[in-house]
Amino acid sequence: MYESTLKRVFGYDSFRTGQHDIIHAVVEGHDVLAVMPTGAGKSLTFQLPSYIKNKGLTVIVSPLLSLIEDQMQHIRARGERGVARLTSMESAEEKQEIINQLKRYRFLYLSPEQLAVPYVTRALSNVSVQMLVIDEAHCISQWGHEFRPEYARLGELRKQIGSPQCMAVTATAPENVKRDIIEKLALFTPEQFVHSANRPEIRLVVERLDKERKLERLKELIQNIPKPAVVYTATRREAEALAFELDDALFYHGGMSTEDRRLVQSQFLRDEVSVMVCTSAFGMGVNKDNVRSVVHFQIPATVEAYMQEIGRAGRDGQPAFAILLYAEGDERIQQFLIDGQYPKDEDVRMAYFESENGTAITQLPRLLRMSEEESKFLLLKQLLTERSLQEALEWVKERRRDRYRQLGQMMDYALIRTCRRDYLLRYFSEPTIEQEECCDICGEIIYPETSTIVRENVTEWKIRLTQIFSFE
Amino acid sequence: MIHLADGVLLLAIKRLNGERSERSLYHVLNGKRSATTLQDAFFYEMEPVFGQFPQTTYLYEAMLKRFEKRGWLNRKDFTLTEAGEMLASPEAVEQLMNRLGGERRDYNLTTWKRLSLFVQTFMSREHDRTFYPVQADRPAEQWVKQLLRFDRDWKELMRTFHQEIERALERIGDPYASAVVYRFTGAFETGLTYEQIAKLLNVDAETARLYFLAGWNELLIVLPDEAKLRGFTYGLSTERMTFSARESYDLFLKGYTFEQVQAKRRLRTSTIEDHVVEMAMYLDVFPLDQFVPMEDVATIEQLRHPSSWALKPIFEKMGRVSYFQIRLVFARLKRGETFV
Repeated sequence: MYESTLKRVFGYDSFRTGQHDIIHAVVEGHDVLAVMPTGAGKSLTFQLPSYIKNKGLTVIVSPLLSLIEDQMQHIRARGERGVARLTSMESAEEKQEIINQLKRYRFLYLSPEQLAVPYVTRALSNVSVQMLVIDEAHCISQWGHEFRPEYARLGELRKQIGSPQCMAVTATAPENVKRDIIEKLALFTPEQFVHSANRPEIRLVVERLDKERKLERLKELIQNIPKPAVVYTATRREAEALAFELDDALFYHGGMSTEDRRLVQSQFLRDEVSVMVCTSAFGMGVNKDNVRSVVHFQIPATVEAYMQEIGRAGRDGQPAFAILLYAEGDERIQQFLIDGQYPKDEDVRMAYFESENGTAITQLPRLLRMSEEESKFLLLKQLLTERSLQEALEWVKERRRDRYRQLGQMMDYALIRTCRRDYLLRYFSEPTIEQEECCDICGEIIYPETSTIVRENVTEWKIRLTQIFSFE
Repeated sequence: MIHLADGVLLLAIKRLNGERSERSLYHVLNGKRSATTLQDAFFYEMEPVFGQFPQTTYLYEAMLKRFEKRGWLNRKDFTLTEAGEMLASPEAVEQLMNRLGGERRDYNLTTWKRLSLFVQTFMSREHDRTFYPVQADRPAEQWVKQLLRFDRDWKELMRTFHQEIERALERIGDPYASAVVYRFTGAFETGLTYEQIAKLLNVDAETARLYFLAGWNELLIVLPDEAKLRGFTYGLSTERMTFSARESYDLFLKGYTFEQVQAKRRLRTSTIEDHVVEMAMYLDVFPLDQFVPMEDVATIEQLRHPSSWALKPIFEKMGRVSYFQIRLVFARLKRGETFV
């Protein structure tokens, strides 16, 4: 029904599972609550209706600057100019210019803080807002794992801009969180869509082996598995070291300069390099449809993280592989990382002792030998204002135990001798699914023959320069 | 594989001559705009590396430890061992270091961001290719956007840019030329990371980064004044003087005295003195006699040990001149003036 618009605007031939129904509900004017795993094509479901209805502004509230940046990039890349953003990054003049010309835009992205700025709210109430989209809607709920206070006012703000049609989207929402979203945003008998976390096109593989064998096996594996491939590791240093060992591989991590990160992403997106070795920093909004394999050289900390990371494979719906290499003791690195995220008991005690004795909070990082920006310290700062010492100790212990338990669940995935897909689905409280080509427990995994992409040879700089400046 | 980058850092330590501390080098490498650091960079010929190695104290410490462990560095007096001297001595190291240019109000970097983004944007548009901008920099983005609004024969200009870059790089030569060219992104070619360039040139990644910085700096130097590419430097300054010193300088130019400048700017005496030292370091013409009696200037020049810029020995021998005055004289001497 909406295929012609899909083809014309987005260049796709068909919808992905579930997209069509959501779009239909939106076009019909219903409030919508959509729970979709990352990579299922959320953004298309609120963008496409704008081209069908073709009137008014779609306002999208999103909590992360990087997500906004990224979505804008993609919208612009397909040639849509009617998109703007209001975040802390814009200067006052830039903001004013956008506000003055709201009618020119089809999509407006903003942070919840910006929506709450009175003159922004007022300006929005004076134009026709076709729909208000709340991305990462679970942040509105105190029950959720990522409650954000700035989200709490969204219901009221929706009213102030004239109660437009509203769509709440999130990747994860248990029952209580869903109820919270509906209530807080005052969604009117919303149509609810809950997507299965299953990704049928991804085959699940775990290989258990000795630590000493891992690197060698990874090298073999990279020869055999279909590419492009992403290899996830736990640390920056390891990402660099592995990329060095593998052919036609680049590394990507948060410690690189922006320019280098962009060069790497761009090369990977354009299939100029076939293997990307990275930490979990890679992936936020990387829209590459044809990733054929995701290899984990280290076990991730949670099943959710694992699902999100393997979810980058096979977005085009074609078969893909998720391979976890696990050696006994690998979990120690995650335990170490978890421990590093929470202050030690003695640090908590010391912080409380010092602050009771009147030490300024700005002095604490030096005393505790922590950096001001590290999460451990931010957490401590928050604890100091909200809890007593006993409660704080208890809270940290509880959180740490929780994280260890989650890591244990991820390890179970590597260790079980029953269907891996079944395990993942049970984890997300979903019924079992039987499918052919499932996992290494259900049947033998055979990697398809792959033709190795031939890299163009290094050219002399003058030739390269001519290519770059060529109009041919 | 050649690790010239290590050589450059060792040469920097060598130039400090055992007269400055580990912290001094750290601040120079990070490009800290404090009076002391600017003076260190000026007197010890460290301006080429000024701000070119931004790093955390942690990494800096790791680097020094590594140098010490390899037997290149005496950390006690912060000087090189014989092995260290060897690595710092090749001509290629000296050439690379001297070509780095040093950070001057981000002149080189900003120009690069503008040009590389412009080339990518324009060529992608010409070939009707969607693209992922290599620069995530708002000002550069805005600048390119504005530029493209001008009605020009951009295709013709692009051909000119191409020629200008090629001619400049011919003069500079490889490996610098390759390091610069392979950082560019076109409609079909994505620029290479430093690791990839390193592989190409058979050096380590850090050396590849320096080749790029040096090549780009040289390109901006050898480019003729009338080159069309100069347009990409529009509105940028290469001044080494800090903004604050510049402000004081402008007041001096208007005829205010030292005391008047100080009163007007409500700054401490020592701060204005630092500004005057900057003027003595960076200005072609400087009225030294207004600050130091000419006979003292000559004495200071005679007392100075030819290979040292240490102030203290002079201060102790002279007695009646201040550190401030010695600095001023040193600055002019360093610039090649002589008063004897």
